Amino acid sequence: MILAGAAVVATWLAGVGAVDLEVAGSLAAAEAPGEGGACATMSTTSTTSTAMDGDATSSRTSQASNPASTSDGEDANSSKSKSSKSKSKSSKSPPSEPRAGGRAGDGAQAIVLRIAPVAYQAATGVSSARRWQVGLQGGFPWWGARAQLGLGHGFSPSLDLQIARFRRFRPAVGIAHTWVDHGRLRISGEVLLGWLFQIGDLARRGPNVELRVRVALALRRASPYLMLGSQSTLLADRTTIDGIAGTSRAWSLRGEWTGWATLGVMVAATYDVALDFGLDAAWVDAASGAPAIPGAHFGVHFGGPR
Amino acid sequence: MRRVLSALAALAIGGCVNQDLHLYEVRVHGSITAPSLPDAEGELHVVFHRARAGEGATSHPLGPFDASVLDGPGPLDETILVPTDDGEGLVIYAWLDLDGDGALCAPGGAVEPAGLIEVDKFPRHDVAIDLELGSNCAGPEALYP
Repeated sequence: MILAGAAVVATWLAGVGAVDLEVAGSLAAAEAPGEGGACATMSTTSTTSTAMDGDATSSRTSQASNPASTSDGEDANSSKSKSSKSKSKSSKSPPSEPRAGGRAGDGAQAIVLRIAPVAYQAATGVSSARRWQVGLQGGFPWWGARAQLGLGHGFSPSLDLQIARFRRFRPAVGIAHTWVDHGRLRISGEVLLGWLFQIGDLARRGPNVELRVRVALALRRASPYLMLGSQSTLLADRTTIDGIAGTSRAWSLRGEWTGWATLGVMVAATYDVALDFGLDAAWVDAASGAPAIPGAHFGVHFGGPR
Repeated sequence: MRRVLSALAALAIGGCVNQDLHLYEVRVHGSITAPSLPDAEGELHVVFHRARAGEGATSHPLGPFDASVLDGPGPLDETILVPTDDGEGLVIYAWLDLDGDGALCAPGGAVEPAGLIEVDKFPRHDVAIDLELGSNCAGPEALYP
């Protein structure tokens, strides 16, 4: 029974027997104008699926209409090759001829959507141009919330809230950028600037900066990812001396470094909704303590066009 | 407007403070002697305690916060910083290390004199003491309260 269930899940993740979704309308509206839309020439008759391979929608439909445009650092040439490769695979797409910047033949319009599903965007921390997404995650000991927006050229600003056991809070703003984008592999980096508030016996507060690196793979419905983070917080201490000659006050600074690693997988429930499960390992204030107990989280991410 | 800005600046700075330590500077001077051993030599260990440390249910007598080692009995002139956030009062304890082993009356070692004094009317910046080491092998817990 368990094996049968596992087989069903594995089959679903692999995309075998996946039900194609008719998303053309909404995606056309999302990507038609501007940077993201420059590469979208939507066919109302095309079908596509929630496949995870970044520009999978272009691969699974028949033609590349404007290979020169990119929305999130994707390679137009790879789009071409994928499109031609996918010709033989796709039986649902209407036959047509590639035509740069134009429409496909035989009355059918090609579709090239240089956008990634929310699951892949959440895994990489970078949204496609003109796409937004928000995510919530809960678990032990880490909770979090995140919102990000795709600016194009592989850049995504974000708002990030990190919570540990509701005693340590770190709101931050960040900017993420795609460094490497090779089809099913994407590596991105992110800088976050925030403020740390920790209450309780180990209260601390101060400005915080975090550097994150994400490595994500795009499978059909799942996107496994690894995130490594380096968090530094500047802590200020004050000493007041009631001296013989008068009162003096002195400030001193010290740092807190927290290392971070998350290994997880985003699963595309739909094109715009992803479920996240991850294992978290953090080393809070590494210089003065032992590594924290590993944790786990479950999250939901959803998004859409701007 | 200036007051508002000052308040905001104070709030911003105050919001950054992690450890806020308050110290009280005290000059302790006088003498420490061992009347029973007027010619004794050895290092003199002086330990400064809060008379009472901790808060609430965990409050307890004596809380060491500073220490120094002098060449031997004689005049004393030390300036110390007393942490005022935890505890009250000031107690000064000293013992003479006759055998040089760094331990008070270790087994097989010499019988070493010790003494303790509680400072009256503390806090004050200037404290004059005259401490006599009149108890052999006595730790501070045996002498106070």
